[in-house]
Amino acid sequence: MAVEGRMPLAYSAAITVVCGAAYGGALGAWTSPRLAVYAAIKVPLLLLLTATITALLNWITASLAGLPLRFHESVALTVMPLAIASLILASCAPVALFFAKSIPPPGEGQRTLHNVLYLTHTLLVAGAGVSGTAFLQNALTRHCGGDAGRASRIRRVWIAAYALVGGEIAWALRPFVGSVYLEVEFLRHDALHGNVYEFIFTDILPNLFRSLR
Amino acid sequence: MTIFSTMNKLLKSPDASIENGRLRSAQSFEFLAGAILCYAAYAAAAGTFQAGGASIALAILKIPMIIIASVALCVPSFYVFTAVAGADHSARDMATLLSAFCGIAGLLLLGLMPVTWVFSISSRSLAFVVWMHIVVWLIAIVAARHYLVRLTGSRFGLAIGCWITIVFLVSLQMTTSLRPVLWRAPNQPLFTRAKMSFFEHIGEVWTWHESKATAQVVKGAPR
Repeated sequence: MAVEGRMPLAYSAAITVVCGAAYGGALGAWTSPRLAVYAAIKVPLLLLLTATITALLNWITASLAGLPLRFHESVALTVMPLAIASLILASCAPVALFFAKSIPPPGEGQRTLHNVLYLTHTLLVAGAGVSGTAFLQNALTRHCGGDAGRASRIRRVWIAAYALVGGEIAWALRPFVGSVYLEVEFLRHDALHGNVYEFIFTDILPNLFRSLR
Repeated sequence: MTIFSTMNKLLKSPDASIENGRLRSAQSFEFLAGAILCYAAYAAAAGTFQAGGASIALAILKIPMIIIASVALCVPSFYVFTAVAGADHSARDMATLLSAFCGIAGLLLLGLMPVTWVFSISSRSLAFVVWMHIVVWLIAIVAARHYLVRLTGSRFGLAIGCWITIVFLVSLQMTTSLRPVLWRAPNQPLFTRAKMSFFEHIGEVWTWHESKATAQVVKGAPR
């Protein structure tokens, strides 16, 4: 059903909520059960907010690329890859939970571990997202009357939109993994200060390379 | 005898597990039981690193447990990854595929057992034998991946490759969680409660020295 791009919107949204919550629970479990509950609420929220914010842009870019979708079709196509991504993430939840429960808990001496965990989850989410858009490619090709090249161009723009918007919303909704210094809270008081890319390139990676040297 | 003949068939004609384009689900149990026997045999050889029957028994207890628990934890991801790649496996197909994967990996470990035994009885460096087992395990699961791809089709190569990577990482962390496996200090408990990540564990193994490690356990330092 998903391959043909006919996954109903409510069905996609329900998968996103349930599977996103399962993965979120495993994500936050490293720090504390409270963060596990918060992350179980925030991961589906992150995915659905990303879909909501990118839906209009995706509809416009598809139209500009010569694919006049109806808006509700565009919304359904926007949510579908995120639903598949959340399904992939949920399948990795037992593994994520096992790691969360078997590695040392957060503490000042666990900064490197935190950084490795953070990057691993970031890569996992990115990989799941890209896999989800493989289905989008099939659905868009069908909508484009078999023109795979045009579908591929639209898909690339949509991936960029997901990455930019999703990254920033994830940053605003932090913490997910937790922090080795800060207390657990639902949202940080400086939620809209900075962005995820700045954090990865100015904090996570430099610290990781320093600790590896 | 059924287990040995099934494993022999798996070794000599891996494609025999497919009948009329479908997986033969009746063999799942034999594959899994055969795999556990192979892991136990490999573990017995690995356990000779630290002289004594207790260390061999420890390895026989833990190595099959590590592999089976790691694969079991990755069952949901196998199902979803292959389904996303277009597969439509039933629960029986899944059981056959995964038990055949365990069986092939087990046969390879069994084939490499004499080599690891020679190195285990003669080596004094834990770091060396640990790296040897990691390389041997990698060879076994990469070969088992080829087998899985052969059974399911080349379009599942990427999905199965991603899955194998996860199994490998989980097996490293599972080994850390179930430590000690290859070397146990006098009076050290069979299982360690202290949490540790696998890369920290590998780092610790790298600087391991028997007398230092024994002294740490005697002092009650977490390991």
